[in-house]
Amino acid sequence: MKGPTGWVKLGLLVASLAVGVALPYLVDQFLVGIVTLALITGLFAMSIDLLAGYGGLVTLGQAGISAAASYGVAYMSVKAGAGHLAQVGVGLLAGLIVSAVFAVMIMRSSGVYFMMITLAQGMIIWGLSIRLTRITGAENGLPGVDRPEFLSLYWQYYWFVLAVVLICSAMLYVIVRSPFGLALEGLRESESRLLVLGYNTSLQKFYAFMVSGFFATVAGILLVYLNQFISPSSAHLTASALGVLQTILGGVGTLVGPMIGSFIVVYLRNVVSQDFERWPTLMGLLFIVVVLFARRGLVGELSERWRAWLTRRGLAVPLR
Amino acid sequence: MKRSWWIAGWSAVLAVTVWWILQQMSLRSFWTQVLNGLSFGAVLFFLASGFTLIFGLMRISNLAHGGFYLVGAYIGITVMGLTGNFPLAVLLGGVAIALLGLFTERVLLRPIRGMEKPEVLLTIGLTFVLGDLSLAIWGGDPTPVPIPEALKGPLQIGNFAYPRYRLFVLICAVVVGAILFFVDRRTRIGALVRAGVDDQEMVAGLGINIKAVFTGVFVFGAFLAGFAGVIGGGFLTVLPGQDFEILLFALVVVIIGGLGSLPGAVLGASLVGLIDAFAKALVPELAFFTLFAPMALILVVRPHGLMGREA
Amino acid sequence: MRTRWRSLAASTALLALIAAACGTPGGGTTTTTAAPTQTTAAPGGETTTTQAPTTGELEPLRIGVLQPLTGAIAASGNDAKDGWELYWQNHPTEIAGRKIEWRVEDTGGDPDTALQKVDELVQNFGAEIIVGELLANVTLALADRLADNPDVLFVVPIGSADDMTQRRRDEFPNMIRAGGWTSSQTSHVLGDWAYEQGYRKVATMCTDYAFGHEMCGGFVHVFTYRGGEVDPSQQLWNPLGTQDMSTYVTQLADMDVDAVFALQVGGSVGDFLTNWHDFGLKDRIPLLGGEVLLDNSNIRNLPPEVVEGLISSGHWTEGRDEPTVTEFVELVDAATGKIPSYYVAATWTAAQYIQAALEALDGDTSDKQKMIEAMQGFELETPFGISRMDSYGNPIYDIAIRRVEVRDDGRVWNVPVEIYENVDQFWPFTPEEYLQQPVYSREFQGNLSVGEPAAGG
Repeated sequence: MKGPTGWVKLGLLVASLAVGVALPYLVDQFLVGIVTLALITGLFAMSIDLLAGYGGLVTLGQAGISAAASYGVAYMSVKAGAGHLAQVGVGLLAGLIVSAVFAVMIMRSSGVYFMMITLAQGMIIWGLSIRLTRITGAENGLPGVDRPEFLSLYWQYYWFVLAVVLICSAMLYVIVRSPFGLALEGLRESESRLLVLGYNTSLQKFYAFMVSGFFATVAGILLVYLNQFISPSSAHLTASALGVLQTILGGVGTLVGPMIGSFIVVYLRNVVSQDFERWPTLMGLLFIVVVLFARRGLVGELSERWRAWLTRRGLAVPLR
Repeated sequence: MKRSWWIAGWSAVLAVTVWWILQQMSLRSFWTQVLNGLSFGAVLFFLASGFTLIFGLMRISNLAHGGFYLVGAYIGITVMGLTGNFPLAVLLGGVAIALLGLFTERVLLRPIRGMEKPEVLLTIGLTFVLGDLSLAIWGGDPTPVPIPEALKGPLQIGNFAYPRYRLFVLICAVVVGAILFFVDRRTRIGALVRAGVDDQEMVAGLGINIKAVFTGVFVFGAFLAGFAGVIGGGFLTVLPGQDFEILLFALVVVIIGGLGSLPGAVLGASLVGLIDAFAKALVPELAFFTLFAPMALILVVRPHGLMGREA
Repeated sequence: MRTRWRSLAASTALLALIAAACGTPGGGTTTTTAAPTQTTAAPGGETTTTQAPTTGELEPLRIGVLQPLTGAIAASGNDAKDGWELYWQNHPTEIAGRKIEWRVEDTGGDPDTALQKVDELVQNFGAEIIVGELLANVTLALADRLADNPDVLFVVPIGSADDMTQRRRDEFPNMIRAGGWTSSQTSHVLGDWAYEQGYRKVATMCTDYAFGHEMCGGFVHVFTYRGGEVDPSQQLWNPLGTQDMSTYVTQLADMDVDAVFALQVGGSVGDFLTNWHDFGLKDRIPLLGGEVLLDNSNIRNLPPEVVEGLISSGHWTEGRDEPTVTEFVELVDAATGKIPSYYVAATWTAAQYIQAALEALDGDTSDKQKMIEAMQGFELETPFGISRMDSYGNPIYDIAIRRVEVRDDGRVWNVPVEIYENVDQFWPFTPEEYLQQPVYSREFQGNLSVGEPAAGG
């Protein structure tokens, strides 16, 4: 119905899916591992995008949630020696409980103050992960989190992650287009107007935070099984901030953008850094350049340009 | 009426806290810890006052402030190595960062005025670049800024010994604070800035070049960050990664005090310094949380900080 | 509207396809499944440049070196890198017909990144030997990851977590501490020395993480074993990365003790030592440093008056007047302009061990256990002095009590005051009795026998 845009999107989707599924046949183990990692951090960034892009709430504590989930899994696996179902169950529970506690605290805040409270929350989880030595192994972390038999090989796990991330993406896609998602956008545009319309914006934020926390939890569980290891650095502000940066880099409020941002950052950190020691400079410059020349983020800017091009040719109406 | 109850309540809380602390330590160490907290708070104040001024006027959270601090400190080290002249090092550290601030505001930040997320990405990106280039230029060995001979060692009064340098930092903070308040309350520039905080369109409508005011405030804030770097580097060893850590402290100060409020920065810096000093001494197990738990608590009770207004 | 459904339908179809693929793992998961393996080179242009094999020659020996080259401890990581590279610049890179090829990679001091990088080095670069890391926690994570891989030898010259060569030795069959040490090894000696100096009551000031617990525990254990006293309430612990140490120094000033043992890392070292001096304690209370506190990397940029005369113990003593040491120090100084820290000496020594093993086995590195056995048999003259291995794979050194002195050129270094010969990781105990006790932690700092008479030294 939307003419070319729809077809281009479909084409890109099918093409990337085809490459995604076939990937283990195309490249070696190392690159498959890198892509697995990028998919997981991408999901993590998408959970941030739900809050930042649709609710206008930039969180700096998301890594606290996913790390809590990781620790839940790792504790059950390494210390309690429980089965995989129990591991995932406890991981989910840990992530969701932390989300709920956080969510209650942020219900009334917004803007910079929201950022700062979430920052404090994340750092408290980080502090706990260092302090609760018996549960978390302090800064030595918990090594040796084994995957289930049927996922033990790298390509098996890759496909599993791909499937989970696709399902989550589809869920997020539906959520942001649901009435709930639209109300969330209203929150971003004008909280006071929503209040007048009779929305309970505090409750709205609580739900949004919980939904976002759920996806961060899933990412945390996937990550701990990939690295088979968890340590406090996963809960640190750096991890949260990197998620936010990936989101903004790719394009806030696009869902696809955070995923692409995540691929770029993982590529810089894990591949470029092999040969180029000054990779943090490169990453910083990339952030600056993107802000200056594509301030909506890579995907945001690209789709904007595409739309403008179509409009010029009279192929589409402006705005969606 | 209500106000006096508040004051009475807070005084009571304060009295009980001090009484409890004195049960745990001698009077002498109590005062030493107060000085420790305040001198650390002094460095945070230099940093936080610049941050809060910029935020109050322009609504920019300049997350590169920590990077400014770090580079300022390194420049101080270089200047001291070349000349051994401490006042010159402080001055050049400040001026160099002021120039960096000028570039940042004019070239990098101006095109994205008012866009919160791009500002976050850009200022963090800038911090990455500054931090990594500092590592490349100065190496990463932990290094303090060399300080002049006269400020080294303890000042001995009876059996009470306290580092001269930390006392010097405290005096600096009082002087800088006094100047800031004077400029803010008693001069035309201060009036302009305050007016700009309240209503930018009005100020612009009066025929005043508000953009120049913006640039001026940003450059001044950057100067303070570089200044803080050199002064603070004298007793807080300079090393990679400090940019983000000191930024965290400054953010907490600003948030506790209230964004955009100069008195808030004073209050926040003193509080954070004191909490940090006493918590390390009294509840060492909780030292990880003493920075963030009070902040989260204060924000839940007072969502806009102690002295802040609606953001 | 319709596009949305179209894309949804497409994705569900593909999901089903993936689910199917997932359900049937190519042939029963047994052994190395013949499913998608390394077929072709990576498309990203990221193929490892395998040196074109010159006809009929042996495969080069590929070594992966993992160190933190960015982040807060980058300086030490770069020192470690220097030591490694300087060794091979000064020695032949072809041994017993095998070329040595290596790749140094940055972990940023983060265990997750290190794990990803080690996978890359092993799978992609084809590393047979991994040399790393600097931080104990990252080293442990790596050891755990590599433990399942009998084709890789893990050489640990720096990361010093005690249990790797003690209670958990069996978990890491392919690991050896060539050029390395255990955290408590050097502080055991200092505990003995402190008692000999007549100190009877000591307070401690250590960083609150495993490395700090172990360094500090080593001191406290031997000191109290000899009959000294350490009151647990006078053991202060500060979090890693503490910004301002004045609070703790103030507390120490109030304690009635004969000496203070201290171990700090990173920026806290300068903070602590400067405050120690500025509060006037340097001339009042003897300070005993754990090895890293006064390592050259930590003191070289501090004002000399802050560190001059301070005592510590260490397996690395840059001011030791022996030809191997002086030669090494001069070589590194000429190349980098710095008096070497122990990080430089450690990776250098690791390289020395690798070369010796390669020569002993005539270039045959296929059996990693044989390499470990060979290394355990050597008696090498290293920058640390004579290095031998105990049966747990940890070196035995002559460990020095060191004092910081200012050289004629104005720079500072550590010179030996007294040397304890042939100190292994269990000294002065036997392995059997030592391994009875748990690893040092904040809760367990050796036998804190307050008032309790100790068995004879």
